Amino acid sequence: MQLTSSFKLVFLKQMLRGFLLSDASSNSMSFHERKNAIKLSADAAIAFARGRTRWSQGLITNLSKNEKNKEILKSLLGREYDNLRKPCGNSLKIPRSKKILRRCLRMCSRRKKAGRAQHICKSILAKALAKKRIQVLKKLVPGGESMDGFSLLDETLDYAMSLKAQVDVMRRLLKTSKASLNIK
Amino acid sequence: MSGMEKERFFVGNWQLADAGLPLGVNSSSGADQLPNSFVNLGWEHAMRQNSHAHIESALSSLVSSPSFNAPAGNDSVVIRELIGRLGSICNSGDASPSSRYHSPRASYYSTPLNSPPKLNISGADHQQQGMLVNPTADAQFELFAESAASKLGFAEAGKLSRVSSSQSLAAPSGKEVTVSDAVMEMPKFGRGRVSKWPPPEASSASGKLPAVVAENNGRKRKAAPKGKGKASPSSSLAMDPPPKEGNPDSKRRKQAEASAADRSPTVSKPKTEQNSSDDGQKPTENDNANPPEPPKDYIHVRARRGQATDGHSLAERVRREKISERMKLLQDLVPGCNKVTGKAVMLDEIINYIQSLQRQVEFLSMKLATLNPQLEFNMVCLLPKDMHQADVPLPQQVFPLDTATSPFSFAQQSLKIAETNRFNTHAAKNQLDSSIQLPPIVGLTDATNYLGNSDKDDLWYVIQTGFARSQEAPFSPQTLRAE
Repeated sequence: MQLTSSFKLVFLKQMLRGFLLSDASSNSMSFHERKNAIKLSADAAIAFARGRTRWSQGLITNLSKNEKNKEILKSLLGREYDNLRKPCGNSLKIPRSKKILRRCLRMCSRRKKAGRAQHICKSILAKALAKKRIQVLKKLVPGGESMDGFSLLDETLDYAMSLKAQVDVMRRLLKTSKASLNIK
Repeated sequence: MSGMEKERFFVGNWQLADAGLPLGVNSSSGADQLPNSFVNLGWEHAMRQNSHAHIESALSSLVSSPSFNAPAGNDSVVIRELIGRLGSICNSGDASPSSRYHSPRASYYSTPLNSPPKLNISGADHQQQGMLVNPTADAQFELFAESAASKLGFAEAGKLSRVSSSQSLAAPSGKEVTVSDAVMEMPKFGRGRVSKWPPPEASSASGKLPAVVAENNGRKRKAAPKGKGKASPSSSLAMDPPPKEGNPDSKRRKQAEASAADRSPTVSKPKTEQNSSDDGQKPTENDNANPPEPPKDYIHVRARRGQATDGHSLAERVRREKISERMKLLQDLVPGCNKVTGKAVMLDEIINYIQSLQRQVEFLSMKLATLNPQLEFNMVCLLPKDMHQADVPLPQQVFPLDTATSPFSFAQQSLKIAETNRFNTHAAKNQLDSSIQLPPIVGLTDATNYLGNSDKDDLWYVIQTGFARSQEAPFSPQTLRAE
């Protein structure tokens, strides 16, 4: 499973490299800049450690939208940068037309079905609720817009586990550095 | 090299520490004890062989210490719920002691569903019933192992789970081995990680059978992805394309078995015996023939009794089953989701969970940013790479080490090094940064590619000293006396 220590170790290593690269430790940056740099390193590191998944690609793509971050990401990830970034490039355009088509069909079928028995209406309502939530989920998971229902759930699972590992490692790092500070 | 110097340190330290602190390796009695224990364990192993496995286990104990995890009890509750659900599906299967390949697996799997006395019975009707149920239990087992495997993109899970079950088959008494497996896996339960796979055989404790095997079966499901997860990060990139191809196939086979499994509870028994024994045997025999490969190329879905055999509704059912599987997995992941049923509410919980995790990351990065001005991270990063620069102070500090009685004096030494480095850094920050930026990065990548272990050792050592420091408060009087 992902929550192995080697996964966490890889993540930690990459994150620390990112700190170095983005010069997160310098005093010259403001607090917000530093925080963003740290977050960038952490996100890039978790995407790197996970390997090639849809959400990691989406994450790197989102992060690269900012020009400043691109340089850092490139040097941090090295050759992985291209691997993690490419496939997501054009994938947004196709689903849009697909979405419109789906929506039209759904509306038509819904109108037809609405005249039938009660339980069908309830199921439609339940489906609508689920659809809304799936939309929210799509926004949450990076790169989620271009995924259909099943793969979205897969990616959510994956992403949630990686997030958990990320939080865990960052917390430990924080505790470590705090402790070493306090001793002095 | 830095490695050798470290080893010299370890030698001096370890001999003294051995007399000093009799801490258990696997103590989990508290956060205090845990770093001590793994520090001891880690150092002696690092001194001896620098083997990856030992360090990884030490680091894994660090990384998964109970002080940070959600309470382990939570996990066991989750697992028990899962078992309960599976039990309701599998409908009290019997463990038939037939010599078929998959039957020990089924017995392994379905033992929590039986009371212990039943396990030894092998009457004819039981056997037949066992035949009936074996495919379903087996199918369910396959289902979960494969689904977990496919979810996480590792196709090896199937192999691993079968390897372990074949080991259980190989043992003289299948029941003994399953219990021993469970007993072996129990101590690791709270860790959330199986460090040995497959578990070694040992003498059984049949009294603990129901509870232990219940946990074990839950572990079986989770251990399958974990076992292969160990191998994965090293080659995750290489592995991702093949498992993705394996996924559709494994999913299809799973569907076939799911449909076979679904059928049996809904149809009456005399009818089902024939059907399921026929159809249940096919997937399982195919499993026997070529375990890692799916036997079919397309989906075999059988219509349920009383349902439309329409192509559309079949596809709908397949789709719904896929979604429900994944929802189940997600349920196990998201804490506190077991009692919730229904897609919409589950999705709500998942959304909340992911949002909370994202917020936590933000918050933690903020906190790390507040710490940063003290250049802690520079120290943490620079320390392994600066060992060669800190050659001069190191020999001087070897001597006080001989008189140290606490292993944590070593940590203190390392932090002294860190401080001297810090002063250097303050003095010539720009110069150091520019000179260090390139070499450490290159060094890190080189070390990663070429000397994988040593880099991990360094980082691990650094983290460990940090933790050692955090736990040093009780030992500080000793170290002060030592110096």
